[in-house]
Amino acid sequence: MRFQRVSKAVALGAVLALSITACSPGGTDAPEPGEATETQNGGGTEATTTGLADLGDITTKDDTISVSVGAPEFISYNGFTPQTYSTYNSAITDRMFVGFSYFGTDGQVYPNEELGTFEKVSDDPLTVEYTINEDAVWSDGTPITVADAVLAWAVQNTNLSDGDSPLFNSVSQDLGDTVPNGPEGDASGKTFSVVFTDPDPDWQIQTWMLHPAHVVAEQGGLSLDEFVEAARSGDSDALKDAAEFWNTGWVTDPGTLPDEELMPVSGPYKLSSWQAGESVTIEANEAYYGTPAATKNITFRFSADNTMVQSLQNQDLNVIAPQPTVDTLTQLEALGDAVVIHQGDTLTWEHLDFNFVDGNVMNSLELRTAFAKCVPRQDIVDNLIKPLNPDAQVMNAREVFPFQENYEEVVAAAYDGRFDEVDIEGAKTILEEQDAVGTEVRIGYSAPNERRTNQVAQIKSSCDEAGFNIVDAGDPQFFAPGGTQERGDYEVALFAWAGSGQIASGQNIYSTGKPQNYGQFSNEAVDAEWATLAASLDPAVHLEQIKKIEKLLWDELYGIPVFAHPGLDASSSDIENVRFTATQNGIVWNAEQWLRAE
Amino acid sequence: MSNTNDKMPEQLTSIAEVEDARLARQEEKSKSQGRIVFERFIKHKPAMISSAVLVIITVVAFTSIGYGPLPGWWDKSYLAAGQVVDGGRPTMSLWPTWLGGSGFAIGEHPFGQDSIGKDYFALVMNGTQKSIIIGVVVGLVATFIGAVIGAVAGYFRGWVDEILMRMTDLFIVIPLLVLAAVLGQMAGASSGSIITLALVLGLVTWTGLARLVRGEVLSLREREYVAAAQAMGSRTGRVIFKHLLPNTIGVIVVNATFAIAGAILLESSLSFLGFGVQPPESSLGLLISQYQNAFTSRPWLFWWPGMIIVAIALSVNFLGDGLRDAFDPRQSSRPRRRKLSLLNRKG
Amino acid sequence: MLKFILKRLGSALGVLLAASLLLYVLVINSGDPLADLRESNADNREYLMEQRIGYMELDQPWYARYWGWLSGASKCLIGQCDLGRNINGIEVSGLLANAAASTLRLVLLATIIAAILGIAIGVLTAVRQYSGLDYIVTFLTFLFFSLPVFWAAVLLKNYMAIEFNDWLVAPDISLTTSIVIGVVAGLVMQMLLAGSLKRRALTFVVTAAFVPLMLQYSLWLNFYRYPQMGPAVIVVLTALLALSVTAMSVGLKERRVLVPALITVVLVLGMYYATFNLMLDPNAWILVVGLILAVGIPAVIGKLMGGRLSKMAMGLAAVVGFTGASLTLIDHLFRAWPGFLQIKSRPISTIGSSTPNLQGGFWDHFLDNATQLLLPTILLAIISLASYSRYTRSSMLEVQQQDYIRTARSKGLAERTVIFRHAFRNALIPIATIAAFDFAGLIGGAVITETVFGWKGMGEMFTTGLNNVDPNPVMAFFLVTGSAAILFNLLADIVYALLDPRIRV
Repeated sequence: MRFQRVSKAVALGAVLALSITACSPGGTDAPEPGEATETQNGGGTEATTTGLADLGDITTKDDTISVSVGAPEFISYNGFTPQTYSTYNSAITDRMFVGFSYFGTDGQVYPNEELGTFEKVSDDPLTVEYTINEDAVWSDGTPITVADAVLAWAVQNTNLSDGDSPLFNSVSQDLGDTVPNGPEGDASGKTFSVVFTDPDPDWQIQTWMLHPAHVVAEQGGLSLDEFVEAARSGDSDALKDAAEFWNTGWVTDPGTLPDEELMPVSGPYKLSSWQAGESVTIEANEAYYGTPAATKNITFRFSADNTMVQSLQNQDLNVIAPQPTVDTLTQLEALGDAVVIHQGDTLTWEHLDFNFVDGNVMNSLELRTAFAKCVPRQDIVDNLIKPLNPDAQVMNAREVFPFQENYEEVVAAAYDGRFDEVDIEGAKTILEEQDAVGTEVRIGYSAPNERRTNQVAQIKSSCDEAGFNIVDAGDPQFFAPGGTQERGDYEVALFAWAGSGQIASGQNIYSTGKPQNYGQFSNEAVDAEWATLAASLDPAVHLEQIKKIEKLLWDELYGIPVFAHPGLDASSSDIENVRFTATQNGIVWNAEQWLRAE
Repeated sequence: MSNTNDKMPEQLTSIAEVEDARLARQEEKSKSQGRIVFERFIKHKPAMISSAVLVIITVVAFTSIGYGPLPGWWDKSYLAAGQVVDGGRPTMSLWPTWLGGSGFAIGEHPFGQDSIGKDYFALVMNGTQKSIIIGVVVGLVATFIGAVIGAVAGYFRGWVDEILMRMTDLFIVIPLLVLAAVLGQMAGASSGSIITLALVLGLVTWTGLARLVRGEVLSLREREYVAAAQAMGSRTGRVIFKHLLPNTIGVIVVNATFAIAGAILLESSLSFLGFGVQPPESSLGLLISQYQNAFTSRPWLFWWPGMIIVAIALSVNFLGDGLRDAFDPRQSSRPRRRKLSLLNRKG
Repeated sequence: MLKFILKRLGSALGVLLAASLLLYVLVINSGDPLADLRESNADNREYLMEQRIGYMELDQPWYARYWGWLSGASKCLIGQCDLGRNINGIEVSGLLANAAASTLRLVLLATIIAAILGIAIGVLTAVRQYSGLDYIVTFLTFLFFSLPVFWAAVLLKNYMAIEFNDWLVAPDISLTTSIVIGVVAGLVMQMLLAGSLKRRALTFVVTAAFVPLMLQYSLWLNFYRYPQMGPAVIVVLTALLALSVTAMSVGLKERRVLVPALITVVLVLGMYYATFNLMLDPNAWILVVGLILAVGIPAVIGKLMGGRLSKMAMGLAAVVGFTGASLTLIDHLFRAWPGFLQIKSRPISTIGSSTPNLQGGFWDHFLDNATQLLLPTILLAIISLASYSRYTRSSMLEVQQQDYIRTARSKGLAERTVIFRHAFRNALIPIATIAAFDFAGLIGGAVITETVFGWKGMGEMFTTGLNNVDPNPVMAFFLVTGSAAILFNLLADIVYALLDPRIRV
């Protein structure tokens, strides 16, 4: 299957990832000697790229593979509303809908040519032309056409509104202004083009294919043409019923699926049964026009993380995505050859950010430097991360991850290794020069989080030697309104961002006055470099800008990156083609390729 | 009594008088209620064994790693990470050499080490301390509130009783786990200390005792001695605390012990659900829920806290059972050994 | 009585209302419902927050939110519940129906088993107070009671699911193991049956010899993969039962009782063949009707033939009929077992209430549900065993001190009669109260069992709601558990009043 990543709203998944690590007990542990090395790919076809492997000719095998990614219940066929959007729901719905592109295991964007092709035809204004595969049909036989792209656009168009709020209650909201005309082309045809008002570096991962327009139109009492016409002309009144159906029509009581004719799919799987609270089974879509699914049924069971390993051992589950804890790992290792363990970095990274609010001591570059010198990043990674991912390393960049292709290049250009070694003496000298010995540094984070508590403990034992007075300011209310972060009662914040796969998302974090610039960092040079990046569509320019920005952020010490969060999945050794991915799509990202060995 | 000791030596003249004197002496030794209870309790073997186990666990837990500023005899800290030796396996050995074991030895880390090399014995002892504190604080708070509310309701009856009992119902209607979880989450959010959690749990677990005490007081207050005390102008508070509550001490003590065991288990449930003690604080419940998955990989992390929590809960329950038998003479009589077997038709 | 009930009901409703207000306020203040979004780096974070504030009405004051909930919930009184939607926009009333059904299925059987076993153990330990049996059983029940549920669940899953399934692939019990099992069984049996030293020794020897033989024989038969019973065994067992219950109650000479019991045995055999094909793939209704007939017909025969002893004859014949029907059922389960192993090679599962998309006939689904229920039921039952057995024990001991028991003994009644006819009945009164409370508590109290065994029940609904600071599911949970608590409380009072003639209301 191809993933359709839900354009700009992806990061919500991050949030879940964050809250998961936050509630993971024993999740933070130090090394055990002789830890196993990474085992990947339990047989089947070896992947040569980070994208989907080519498995050759596939016929769907009549079999069932059970997988669990967590306890939360399936919510809805439409996982694109703020209420229903979650990584758990997407784990299932992403198998049913395809997009024009998907993310490979390292976050790289790959085109999905089974649905169709796209091509940038002009840079100014940015114009992209899409061609839908001639054979592409919904599972009920209706061809996939431009009308479906119009629905995807309408859903993300806030200009369609009933006065107070947008008609469509969607997680993603930006296409109305960035692509005012929507997909242009014959509604019943297969080609359309989109014209962006401003250059958008992330144009490749915009969502142009979501749900079946013919179903939404019919349920809204419109013909398909009327629907497209109303969407294009901004006739909100006419679309009201259709939007209402899109918002709530697919929301059903747990255990009851909507009528089959209401939920055709564009991907390799369709919903087949739902047992409330326990499992959802998806079944191969026989009308699928691309590579067929390798296994007929995939059952998603909703089991709590701490029950997964025993279930895998008892073969109640074949593929699991438990909390990455040392104990889960040792428990899996104890199962020996019966399971394959998938380990690696994820696209979520931990960092220490300084507080630049007026009057905060960390406004001094010297103190920031002294702090950076005494933070034992290597020790933290060795003690807390390596046990889970033997290949883990200290992260020296913010916009690229160590497992990504251009990481070395960016780091080489931006960072000279000055904070690689802990330099207590250097830090001490600075503190003495600044007459700042004994400066209290409150490290704030969202508690409880054992791993972060341990990190702060390690920082404290190192930096206190240099003359800082580190205080563990972990608090459950850290990010809450009126909490530590909002009050600014901290010097350093310890938290994680999830890489969104987007190119320009960092602008919101590092530019002056942006909403995620929590520490109120402000640097004109950084602002300008970001603006240049966001205005360009050229990958070469993006890379150059990233190098410049990373260098500035190191020189100015916005904060200190520490490590990429480790991930852990496991599968029975008889299931082939299970592959780890760093993205939030999780282990199920290529579920349509899973196959039980004979 | 007419015969007193000082008169006795001169008047020992007849056998009858000797007999009288003997009787008198015996009567002098007549036992107080407390004494009777104590002796009955002493005879209750499981309760005695349990008390011993509890005392040992408590003493070891508090003296080994010390408490607060007080140092203990165990030299490792539950906070200090260290080098993991032999995968963190326990070094304690109790298997004698002549049975093929390695002889009796305590070793560096008798209970093993956790994944970052913390000494697991120290960790478990710390957890035990916290669990015992939670149990005792909950027991005390719940007992105090329950006894006072029960006694006041039973003594005053009427509208006071009505209001207090409806209040009790309020706490009974809301499932305990819900209240504890909500309040625990709120308490945890504000301070995260185990004392707060214990106070909160105490505040919601007093209802059972309140009902029992009320029942007892309702019947006690009709007794003559209470009427006498009232007639002599005793203040209400004095009547309740001097005359009524001491007579319900059996119910109270027995319930307090069960409340302690219940609280320790409740805390472990809450910790499992994530509403209880939060790291970096620790408790046996938290340790168990942290390491429930270590069962096959590092079993010592799973077994030690589990065994200790079971040992504590078991002992406290037996203790309560023994106390109940001791306080309630109806239950402690020796059984008539009659032949009876359920599956045997002779019976 | 009616006035009493109405008065209690009125004050109970008041309490429920006050409790709902208290709980609502507590829940909405227990955390930050936007916590996950605050750490988000989504571009549209602000929008998502606004959306959630909108649909969860976070901008409303607490009393307005509570009022909104209450006005929806009070519609339940006219049968149109509106319990709001949860954080994912799902109607809570739909969630509740599923959750309640799941939980009831889970706790009902466990409660019944715990109550029956617990009361039996309680009577036994009371009768043998301070014997070795008393100490051991007390120790065990307290031990079970003291187990942290999730900790015990891990053990149970490991030994009774994973290892059992592994073992079932090629069942084997070594000779040593069989002998050890035999010895343990022997010790248990002699303790249970008691009697003189000689008697105990005999019981021990017979059991210790018989059990290992049976174990080895069953292996030889490959019983664990291909269990079998057949009509002969059914007839022998029912006939033995008929004879022994008659002997134990009225004596074998009493033909008016013995004959209906024996006729029932013949009927069982007849029905076994008559229903054989029907039972190969039945449905639930057939089983229920069959069971009713299996109890009803023998009872009628007993009534007709029993004469003076018709009550006794009815009871015994019904017991024999019931046992025969149950054995027939088990026989069919045995027949279905090998086929079931074909489609579910590892029968005992660690999660879920049924295997998703299981193929197969009625018996396969029956066995599937049964094997899925096994572990959580065992766990819940052994944990609540303690309260039943302890209360029964102390209640029995208390009753035994009563004057009427002394009177009964002194007039020379058999000890068995004294215990069962006089003591036990009266001891049951307080136990009824406990059972009522216990059941109400269990509806909400299986939270952890549900979590560890992956059943999405009431407890799960509650914890998820609380974690999300989402009041609607929590309140729905409360509505059920609170009402159940009040209802059972009331029921207990009424039962109490009916059972105990001294209480007049």
